[in-house]
Amino acid sequence: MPVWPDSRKGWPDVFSYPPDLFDLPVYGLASAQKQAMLDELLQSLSAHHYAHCQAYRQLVDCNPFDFSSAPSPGQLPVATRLFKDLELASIEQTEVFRQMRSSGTSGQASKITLDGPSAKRQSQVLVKILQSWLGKQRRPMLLIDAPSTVKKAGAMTARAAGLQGLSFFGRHHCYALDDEMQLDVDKVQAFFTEHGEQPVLIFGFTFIVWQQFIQAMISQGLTVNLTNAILIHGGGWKKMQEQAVTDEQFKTAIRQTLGNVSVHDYYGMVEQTGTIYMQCEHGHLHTPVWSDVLIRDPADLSVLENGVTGLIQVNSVLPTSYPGHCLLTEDLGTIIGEDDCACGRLGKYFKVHGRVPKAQVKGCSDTFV
Amino acid sequence: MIPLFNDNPLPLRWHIKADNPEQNRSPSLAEIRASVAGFAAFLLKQNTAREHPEIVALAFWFRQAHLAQITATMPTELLNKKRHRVFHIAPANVDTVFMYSVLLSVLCANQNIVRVSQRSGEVTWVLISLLKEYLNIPDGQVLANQIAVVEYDARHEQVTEQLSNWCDLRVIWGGDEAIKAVSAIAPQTAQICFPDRFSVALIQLDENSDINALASRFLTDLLPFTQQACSSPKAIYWLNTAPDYQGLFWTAVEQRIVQLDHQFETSHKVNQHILLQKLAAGWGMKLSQQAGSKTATFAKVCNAGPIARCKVNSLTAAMLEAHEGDGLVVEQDIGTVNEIACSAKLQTISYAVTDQLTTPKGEFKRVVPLGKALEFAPVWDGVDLPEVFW
Repeated sequence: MPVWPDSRKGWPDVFSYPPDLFDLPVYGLASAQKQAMLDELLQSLSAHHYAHCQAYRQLVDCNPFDFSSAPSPGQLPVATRLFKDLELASIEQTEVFRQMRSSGTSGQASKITLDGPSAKRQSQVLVKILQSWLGKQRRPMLLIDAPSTVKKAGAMTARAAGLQGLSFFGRHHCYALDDEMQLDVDKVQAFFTEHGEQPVLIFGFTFIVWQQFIQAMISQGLTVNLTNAILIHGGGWKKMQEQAVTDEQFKTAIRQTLGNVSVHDYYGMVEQTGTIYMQCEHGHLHTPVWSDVLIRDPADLSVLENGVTGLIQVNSVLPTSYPGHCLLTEDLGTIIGEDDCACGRLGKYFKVHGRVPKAQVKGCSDTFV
Repeated sequence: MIPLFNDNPLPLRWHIKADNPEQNRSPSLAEIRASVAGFAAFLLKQNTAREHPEIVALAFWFRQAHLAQITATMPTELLNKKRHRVFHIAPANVDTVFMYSVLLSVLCANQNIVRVSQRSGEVTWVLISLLKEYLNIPDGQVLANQIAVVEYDARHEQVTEQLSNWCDLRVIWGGDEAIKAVSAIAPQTAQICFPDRFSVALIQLDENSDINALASRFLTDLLPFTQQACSSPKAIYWLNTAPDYQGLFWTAVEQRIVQLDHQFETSHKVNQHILLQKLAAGWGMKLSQQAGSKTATFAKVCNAGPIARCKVNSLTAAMLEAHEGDGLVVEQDIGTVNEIACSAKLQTISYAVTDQLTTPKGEFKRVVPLGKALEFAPVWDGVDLPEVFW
């Protein structure tokens, strides 16, 4: 058993990445090479967080094991829930650049601590991933949200971060909703009149796109015939499932209302901003080169084979300011395959089935709410 | 008299309203006690009640024979009464525990209003509808002016305030936060509180132990309310017990649990993994290492069917306080009962030991035999209810 340092002494404060890591093709590295690269980087990241984050160190020391030689599946996956209950950071207070918060529709929000380099790295990788879908040309952009969402003070919400991040890919930005989150018909019609023939980019959170935008368009009898648009949407299917809307129904309604739109869901979370998983033309979510997905058995956390449904673990090489390089989510998913999706992209591809169904909260202590 | 809020625009839902108080004479103590016993007998006859072990346990506790024991030490005449009207704030989504205190208060001839949360669980609604049914039959009429049940959103503080002003004693079942919030409303109100607590089991096994029976008794304490009641054991302290016997105990638990009804699902299993991580990351909990064995993997719980366990080096009161239930049993080997993490928040120690029980030196509220942790007692959490309700 190697002796791990129990203080910051001797460890460089700055985690250094291999040169050219972020120049790798987004979906172009075959399994053997990718896994070897991830093994090495995730081991170093575990050592980095072990040295710099007390909570992570305590987590590892709960049952000390040799993470320095463990392959990626052997690294400890930190439950995303811990970011709600605890403060997990691998940087000093003085180095904090920004604290991100999950949109937190229910219960406590996750708190993710970023320093400047981490925030920059996240944007850099997000840009790389999206450019591979959108190209480098900025597109006229319709944001399905209220302008005020990004202007709210305080810690940044995931929604605001998503809107701000994606804005980079657009020009002539137009917010489709007013500050009451209602469809701004005049603005939207003006946008479509001016840019409808161009390769338009539409972005928003799945449920908001469905409920506040498409449903409002339908109920007001509005349609438009876009010729070459792309819609990127994400942010959870929980509310969609409550309304029993499937991915297919969603896509059909979009095309009936807006015309020729290529629709792409994405999976991602505030705990690993940057490395998002985009849905391809065949309906599969794809892992970019800097991140990976594992599926674990909810019973004993053993790693499951492709095709078997279990808890989604997401690994990413990006997090250095908080111990989020290996995360155990509470989402269920299935890996469909690796390197052989019909769309031609390399890397694992998978499906997300939503959260583990929640049982009712009980307890004597759970009263007056 | 009991306010009816007839013209109140707030979304109050009276599940059980008091009768017109004018038409009622006050029932005598004997009539009230007979009617409470009648309610217990009524419950035991209902199919819907028999489907819920928690309701059966409630009915059994208030059955004639046990009721006679409870009331034996209570006054027989309505003299020197300080309390007349009690406002009970029941916990959301639990259980039946508030009904014990309501009925004890009824036995003291008080009028009672119970606030239930709209988030209450199925058992609560079943129990309320059965109570309503009972109050409509002749035996139950006696109690018709003694119990009212209302549901409203806790944010309607003015309702809490009105009910607090109506009563002369307020009973709050709740987490520390909830108690703080309610205490700020009509702060002059006399009140008793049942705040956050945790509980543990103390077990000692040897060659003479009936391990199967003890495993069943442990599950009786653990399974109801998915280990989330304040009396549910969060931990087992193994008192001078060889690992082999502990192994046999867990095998017995696994075999027994498949025969029992419980509400543990996948989400609880996931919570068990997360809870282990939380206690490790936040409180420094460490798994104990088997001598000589080298760990190959990060910390994981050890499954015993739908529940799980983990053996740790040292268990603190802070860890037990942070333990949210959901079926994770934290174990620790101890050589003396004084190693138990006593605390003002430690409620129940349910025990099964081979010799005479020695109680720990630190603070705790009660000791009961294994299998009786969830059994109610008139002195609950150190509060003598029949006395405070008099």
